[in-house]
Amino acid sequence: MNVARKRSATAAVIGLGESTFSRKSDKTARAHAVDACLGAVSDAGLKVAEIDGLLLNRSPIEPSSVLPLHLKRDIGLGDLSLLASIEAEGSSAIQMIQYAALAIGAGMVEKVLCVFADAPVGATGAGDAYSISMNLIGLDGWDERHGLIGATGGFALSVQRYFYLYGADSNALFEAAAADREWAALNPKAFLRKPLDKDEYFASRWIVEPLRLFDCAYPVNGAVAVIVSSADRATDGPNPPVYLHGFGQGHSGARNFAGDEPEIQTGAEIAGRNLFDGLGATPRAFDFCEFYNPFSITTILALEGYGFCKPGEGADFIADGATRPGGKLPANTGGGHLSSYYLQGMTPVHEAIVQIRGQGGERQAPSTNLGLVTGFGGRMEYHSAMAVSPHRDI
Amino acid sequence: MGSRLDDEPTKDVNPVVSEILRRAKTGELCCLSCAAGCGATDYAARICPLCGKPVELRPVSGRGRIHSYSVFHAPFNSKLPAPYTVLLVELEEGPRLAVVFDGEGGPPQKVGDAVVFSGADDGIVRFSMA
Repeated sequence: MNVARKRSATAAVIGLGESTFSRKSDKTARAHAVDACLGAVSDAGLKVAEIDGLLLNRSPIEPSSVLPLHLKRDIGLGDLSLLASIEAEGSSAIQMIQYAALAIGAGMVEKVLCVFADAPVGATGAGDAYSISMNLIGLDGWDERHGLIGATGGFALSVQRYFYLYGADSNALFEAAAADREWAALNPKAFLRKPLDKDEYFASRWIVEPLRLFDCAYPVNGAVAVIVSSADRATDGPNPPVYLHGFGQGHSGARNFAGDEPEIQTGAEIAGRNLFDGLGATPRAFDFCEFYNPFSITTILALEGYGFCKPGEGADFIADGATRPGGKLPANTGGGHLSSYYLQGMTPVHEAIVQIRGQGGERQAPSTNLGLVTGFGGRMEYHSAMAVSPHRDI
Repeated sequence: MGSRLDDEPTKDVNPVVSEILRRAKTGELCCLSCAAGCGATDYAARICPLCGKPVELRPVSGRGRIHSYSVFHAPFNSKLPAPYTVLLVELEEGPRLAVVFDGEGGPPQKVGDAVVFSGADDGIVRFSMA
């Protein structure tokens, strides 16, 4: 850990809860959310009555009724001093934690429950849930009329552009997917744990070429909740606190216009700069990373965007083993979105908490003094990031 | 899914999209451009990003290059049997537009290739190799 500016955290995550994660459509997102929230309260050693803030995050493709403010009643919460639904696509989970920390720092509130819940997997899988327009071009109805459907369609354009700019090919994507799978093999809660064979990867079906099945996230139905507290009260509970040392958001203004490269300039570089400037740190300060990585390409783009390697070098960085078990920068240590489970922004948040607490078992990273957690959503343009540590003072 | 894909633009379609498709069907592709003369802007703009004045539709040459592309192997609507290729075309005026590649079975497309507007008979704007 090497930060230029000494700092003391003012907020920490003190509770982590999860529902069952399932590929069966037997429960609503709202019911999963209740399980996760009550789990987080128990994990923190709190009573429900001690929670005075609630922040909700539903999938951006679902209506507000899926995870309404009435969740407050479902959990049996009393009077609250903070209540909101946060919707900024894949950057939302970290935004919730950021706003909770800011509200605590401002004296508004003391214990904030933040929950994400989703149930995209139906009787025929999750494909239908994600077959929606991302409105990349910016003209309502244009993309679907021209067959440009789903985040997979948008990220496929990103991959093809990346291949062109840096001379990479599908082997780069395979390496990223295989690295995540190596971590998943060490995570008993990951859904896909068998090592990813190269032949199996290349034989997997196209989702949207050049993205194959194993380049894409593994959706589940479920929920994850965390409780954010003031750092002063963070050691009261049974689990080690996860101190929140800084946040950075970055929402790219790159346009679909000559000269801009929104496919690779995703806003990570802005979020990273905001986070690192606040910390007085460089990427070298981080021991491990938990990236929002719904597609294999996104880990490559994140490594480059956050400055862990130069543009065009992310694929080699992964292929050389840097992010794998035993590597110098463990990344996506639970298996990430591709191999553990996809619950949007909470997948990387959950894994970062496990790592900081030292509860990773076989997959525990050797050093976790400072971790980077990211959120990434929308048309490759919305980013959030945070720095977490087991140490209050760094 | 479930969006309207009628041959003729209808009232429930975004009026800008409707007008672009109406004119494209006559052979004239348009982009959004600053009404005060700053030039072409991207299709997501609602005001000129340079001066803040309104944008309006103006004809473009129809020539461009492939900025990126992807191939869809599953059909999402009856007008586009799979596989089909979506091109993200950078028009020579600057804006980028998602269009359908008109030329399946021909030589494979590559990023950087020159392409040209080839028509919009069925309400879908298509480009072919130049």
